[in-house]
Amino acid sequence: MTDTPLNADPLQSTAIADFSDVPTQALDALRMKLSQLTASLSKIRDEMSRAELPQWYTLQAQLTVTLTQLSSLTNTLDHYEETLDSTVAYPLPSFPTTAHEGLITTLMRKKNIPEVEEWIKDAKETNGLDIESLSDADIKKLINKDKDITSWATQCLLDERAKHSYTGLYTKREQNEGSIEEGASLYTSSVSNVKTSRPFSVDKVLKFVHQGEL
Amino acid sequence: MDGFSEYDPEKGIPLAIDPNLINIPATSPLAAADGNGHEETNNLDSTATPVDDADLTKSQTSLIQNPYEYFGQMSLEQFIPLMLQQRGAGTKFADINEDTLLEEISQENKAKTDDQAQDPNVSSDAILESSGENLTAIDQDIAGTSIKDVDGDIQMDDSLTESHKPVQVDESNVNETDSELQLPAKVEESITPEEFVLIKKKVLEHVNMAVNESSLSLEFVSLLLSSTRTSAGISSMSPYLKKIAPPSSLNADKVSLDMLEEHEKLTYDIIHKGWNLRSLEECRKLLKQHYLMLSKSVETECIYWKQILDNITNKDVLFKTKDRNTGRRTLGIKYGFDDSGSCYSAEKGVALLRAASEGSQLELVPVLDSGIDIGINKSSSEQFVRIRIFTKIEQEDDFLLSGQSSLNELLVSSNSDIKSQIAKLRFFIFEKELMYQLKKEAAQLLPYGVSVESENKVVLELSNEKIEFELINLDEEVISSHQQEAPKVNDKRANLMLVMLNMLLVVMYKKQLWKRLNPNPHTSKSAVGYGKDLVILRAILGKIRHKKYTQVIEKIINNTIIEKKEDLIMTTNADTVPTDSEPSKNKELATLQREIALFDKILCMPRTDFTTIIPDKGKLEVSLRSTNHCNAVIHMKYTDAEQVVKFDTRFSEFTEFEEFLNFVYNEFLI
Repeated sequence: MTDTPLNADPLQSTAIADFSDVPTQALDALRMKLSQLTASLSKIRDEMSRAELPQWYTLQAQLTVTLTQLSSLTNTLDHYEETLDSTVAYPLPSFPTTAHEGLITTLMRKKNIPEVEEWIKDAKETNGLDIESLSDADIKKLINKDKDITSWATQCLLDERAKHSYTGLYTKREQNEGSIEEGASLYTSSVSNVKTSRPFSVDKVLKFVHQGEL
Repeated sequence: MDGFSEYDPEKGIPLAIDPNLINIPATSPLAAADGNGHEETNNLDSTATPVDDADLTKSQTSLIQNPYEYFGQMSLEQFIPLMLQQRGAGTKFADINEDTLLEEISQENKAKTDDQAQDPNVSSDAILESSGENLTAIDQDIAGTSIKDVDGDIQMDDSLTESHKPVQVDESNVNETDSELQLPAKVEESITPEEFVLIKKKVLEHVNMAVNESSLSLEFVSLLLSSTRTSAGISSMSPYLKKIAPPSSLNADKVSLDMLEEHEKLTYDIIHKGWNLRSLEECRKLLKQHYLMLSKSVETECIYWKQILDNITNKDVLFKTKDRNTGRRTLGIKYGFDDSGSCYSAEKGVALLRAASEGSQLELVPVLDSGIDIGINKSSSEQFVRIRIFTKIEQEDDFLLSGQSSLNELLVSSNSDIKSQIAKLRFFIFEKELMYQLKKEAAQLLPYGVSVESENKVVLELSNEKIEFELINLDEEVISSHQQEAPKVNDKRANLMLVMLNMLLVVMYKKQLWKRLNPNPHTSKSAVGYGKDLVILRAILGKIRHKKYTQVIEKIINNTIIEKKEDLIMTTNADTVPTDSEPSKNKELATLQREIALFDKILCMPRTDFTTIIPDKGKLEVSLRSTNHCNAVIHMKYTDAEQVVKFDTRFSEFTEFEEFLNFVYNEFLI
């Protein structure tokens, strides 16, 4: 795993660090996710900073992409949780610690930024649990119950969602009953990818209807 | 006065009582507020009236923040009279109820929000908090996730402290439904540009924060990775970091992993739950808002299409268009006649079917945009053609109104639904075109007593009467005078004339349509208008003149021949030359042809034949024709007993004809 840089400073080369504990695989995976996320966040920032805002759907699409990447990052973090938790990073003498103390402290910072602290505080306040008076076991029980309810609610939502049709002109029930056999061919929703061929243009048809000639 | 000193101008403290109550200067009463309540009231009475507006608003804003400590000290006996006085004379305490107060408070809040938004010094937080509820759904999309909603906090806390079971949240939310049903009114309101800029700034701040955090993490991970995978690590480091920190300048060691304590785990779970609840609440609000918006718009659309359905038949021409004023897409209706063959281009004949902003009522908005100014007064679009007949008073050189066309029923009806509006538009554009074509035709008929008196009036002068065709503006006066008018002798004639003119214009349309369907390769396509085919006024004028000519010729023949000889009979035969064209094979075209042919008799040049048979002397045939409907051309043919054609000539002067007839009589018929 050790990979000594070729252009290492002669002063440092006397004590080649042992990099075997660096969790390369995890870091590489994180690096990829993070660079994607950073890129799309910067894109949002650039678009938002412009004098003229982009169309809302562009922004929304961009946001969706970013959220997906964020969730992918969290998944990766979760996956390597143990490895990362048991890793402690520290600077080597080759880092210009004295000249750039601020940089290294910023890089190695573990504390949350004030906003995040605020959110955590907010979450603790609004979770609906009386932490002070309840014992841990009780809280755990409540949280487990909450989890059950959440999963039940999710299932409910999914079931309910499946009962409706969100595109086209017909309700799910109409579709299931098959009472629209002939109607379905009359209208295809705009979401459909099927390209219909048009033997007549609307104008032509109207002309024919009106003037009786083609 | 501790309470007052706590007042923070940056934070809008929620109002608790009607701000109108506090319609008094803040400084003096407040300074004296330590004294007993009674003195205060007197003080207020004296100072309440002479405050100018600026002071008023100032005092309001400063007092509003702290209403309780001051008014709370008063007894009801003092408070109620004060309140009534502030609300103006004639107010009864019994009339003040919760609803009206709530409404006033919300209005006051709104006004305050606007004021604050205009003040650049006020921090964005204050505005966001106070206007949080006024945000539209779109803004919620952008900013909803980041904006801290004060109300949300309160609701949640309340519902959750009541009971620790999370299910309760749902129940209490259901209870809130009623209050939230009032949302759409607020949702509909758009925010001011200033507010928008502030919200955008806020969003940008959050995005920047996210970018910062994300790129910092990336830098750290890259730097650490550069120790084992140099190239990969370096590739995602920022230039700045590359310059300062050499690769592999971080290292990491593995330490034994401390298992999380149960309590810490629980803390995570608690935070997790808190966030979940928060998001759930936001989502619920968003969904609710959108649901309400969608239902409202479904309702609006439903009303719109129902009205379309009620008012539009399959004979109307509808098309998609864009409203230039609002930029919205909408439906247009064509009420002009160019599909029916009209060549009138002074008016587009197009109207927009616009849903009024409230979404309830459909409006018909004619599009008034024409490049060509034909000269018709466009200021009033409600004009119609009226025909008046004046009869000459004998022995006097004056004319008397003897007949007038009546008002179309459409104009009298007070019906104002879309259907009759469309019908009216149709009527007016048709009348305007009729006048336009009459004027055009009149220009060619100047030699025959037709004159264009003004831009909206054509007069036809005959020997003993005068016929006026006038385009007049429809107004109350015209309607009422028409209704009071006593019937006259020539009313019916005027009406028939008007009907005839209308019908003839329709025939012109049909001819034009026929032409369009059967393009003649020899005529240039650029020719717009009816050209030589335009026969409207001429048809009527021609008939009248022809009748006169016929009488003259009859008289001449009588004088020159018939009265001089006995037993002579003259037969007259009014004949029009039938235009026989082959009926079209196409069914529609044949119909069109047939409909045009119905008017052949009127549209053809008038012609009358007079035949006089003189026993033993042959036959005299006179034929009165016209080359342009209005002039007279006399054909005369004399055939003697041996069937030899002696004369076959043409005259355009009646005197010449008379002289010649005398000559013929003297030479051949004696």
